[in-house]
Amino acid sequence: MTTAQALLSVNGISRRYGNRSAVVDVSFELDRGQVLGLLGPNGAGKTTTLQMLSGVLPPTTGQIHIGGHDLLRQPERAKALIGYLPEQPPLYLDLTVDEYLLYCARLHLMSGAGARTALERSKGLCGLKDVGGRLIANLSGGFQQRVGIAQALIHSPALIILDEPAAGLDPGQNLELRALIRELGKEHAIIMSTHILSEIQACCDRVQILHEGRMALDERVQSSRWDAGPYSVDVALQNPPAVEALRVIRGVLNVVGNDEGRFRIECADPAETPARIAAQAAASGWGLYELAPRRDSLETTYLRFTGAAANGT
Amino acid sequence: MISITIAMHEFRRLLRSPLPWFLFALVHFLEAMVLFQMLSAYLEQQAVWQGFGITETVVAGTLRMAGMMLVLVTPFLTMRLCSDEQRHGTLSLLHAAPIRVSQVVIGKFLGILLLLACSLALTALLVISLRVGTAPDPGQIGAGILGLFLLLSTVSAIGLFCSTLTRQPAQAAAGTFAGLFLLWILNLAGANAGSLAGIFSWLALLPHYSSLLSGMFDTADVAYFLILTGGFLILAGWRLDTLREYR
Repeated sequence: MTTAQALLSVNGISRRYGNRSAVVDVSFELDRGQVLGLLGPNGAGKTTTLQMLSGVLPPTTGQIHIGGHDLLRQPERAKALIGYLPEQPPLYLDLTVDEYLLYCARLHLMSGAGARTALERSKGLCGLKDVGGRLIANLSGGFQQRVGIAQALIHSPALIILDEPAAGLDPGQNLELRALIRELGKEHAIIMSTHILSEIQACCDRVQILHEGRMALDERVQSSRWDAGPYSVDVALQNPPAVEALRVIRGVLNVVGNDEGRFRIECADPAETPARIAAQAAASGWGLYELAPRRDSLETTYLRFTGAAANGT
Repeated sequence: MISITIAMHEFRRLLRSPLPWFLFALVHFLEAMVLFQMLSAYLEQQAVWQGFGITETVVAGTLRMAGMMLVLVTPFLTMRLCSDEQRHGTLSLLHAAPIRVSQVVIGKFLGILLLLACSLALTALLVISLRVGTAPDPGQIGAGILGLFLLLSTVSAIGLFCSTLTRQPAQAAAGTFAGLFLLWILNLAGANAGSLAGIFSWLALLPHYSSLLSGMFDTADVAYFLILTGGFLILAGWRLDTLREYR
């Protein structure tokens, strides 16, 4: 098994609430330097998954290893490597920011000067330098969220788990958060859940889509499929010819067809090749009635694995 | 060590709320009234109190009243210990930290105990102030204060357990009162003759406190308080642990 190498190794975890399965058989591995975005509609099991990873909720079945330590058998060792921001930031509203963050640092077994240094560092990272002496209750929602994030970072854990970190942030703060996550992602392993697609594309290098508690997709964000992939068009023909007839058109790299006269054609040139296909279709009487550029973006992928699947059933 | 951190955190948060200040101000005012009233009764009716020392009468009487009042006040102090954490989602901070549930329970318990000890120190000063005019028996005062401390730690443990049971502080306080009432009622059940009377009266809370008040340091009484306190702390730990399952 590879549990010894990967920082986080999740092995077939499931979680049931009574008769309802919230998460079913999720497995993956994650290492330092990776930012994993957990995507899915509401109720897909994102929060439950993150709760299990952070040791707050024990899985019904399956194992979680963090830094080689079993989260259930050696919880103290494993949890020392985790920083966790729950969906609702765990704030004591009657404390000041400094008091609260120091308490969090001490809960993670830091003491004295180490905790003070960590406090200043995490305040600097999260833009909280000026509000250290203020009561958390008097801070705006965005600042409270930042305190929650600072709490997850303060002991510089190897694995940072953020459940909807962008909730309640304004667009400016959101950009700062993305920059922060990218920066932290160089040295730490980060898992964040969100339902904002642009966030994943902006700061994650790996994405998982959860749908009805199952992992529907686990891929790298920067893969050829989404960015540098060949441009392709979807073509629909009333009188479809053999696939070979399409392949011979100049500029066509690859053709995938189905029975209903629909083809996905990879083009060498985004302008010239579709024009040639259209001309050839007109000349040969193929009855071209649809020619659309195909955007295999994260959005369509997301909809295919979640929305479309939900509509289809 | 972590327990101390949690204890100081709880202590600080308790002091941030106006409730303990208000309750303790009330209790200490009433304690002073009781002491004054008993003292004047003792001085005016020397004939009635013939043969009794001031410690047995005035000090024990004041401590008995102080005990009653502090027992009534403690559920309001313990009610938020864990119910608030459940309500505001801060329990996940503790559950995700590399600490054991037992450390959390002991920390919270020590925190509330520290607050009650402060109040107890004031109560002790009140009765010791009798030294200005007379010489109360320090041994008996010590036993009384110790008894009060043990009584309050038992009530705190029950209150801590009750506050793990619910998200609503008021419900936790009500539950604690119900528990205390039960332990009090057992005393009445013990008063009736019957085969179980002995068990009932041993389980009852106040007789153990009374014997300490009268200056009798009986290990059986101390053990009673310690067993009850420990038992409820263990229950609180179990409950906090299962809260991870059913959230």
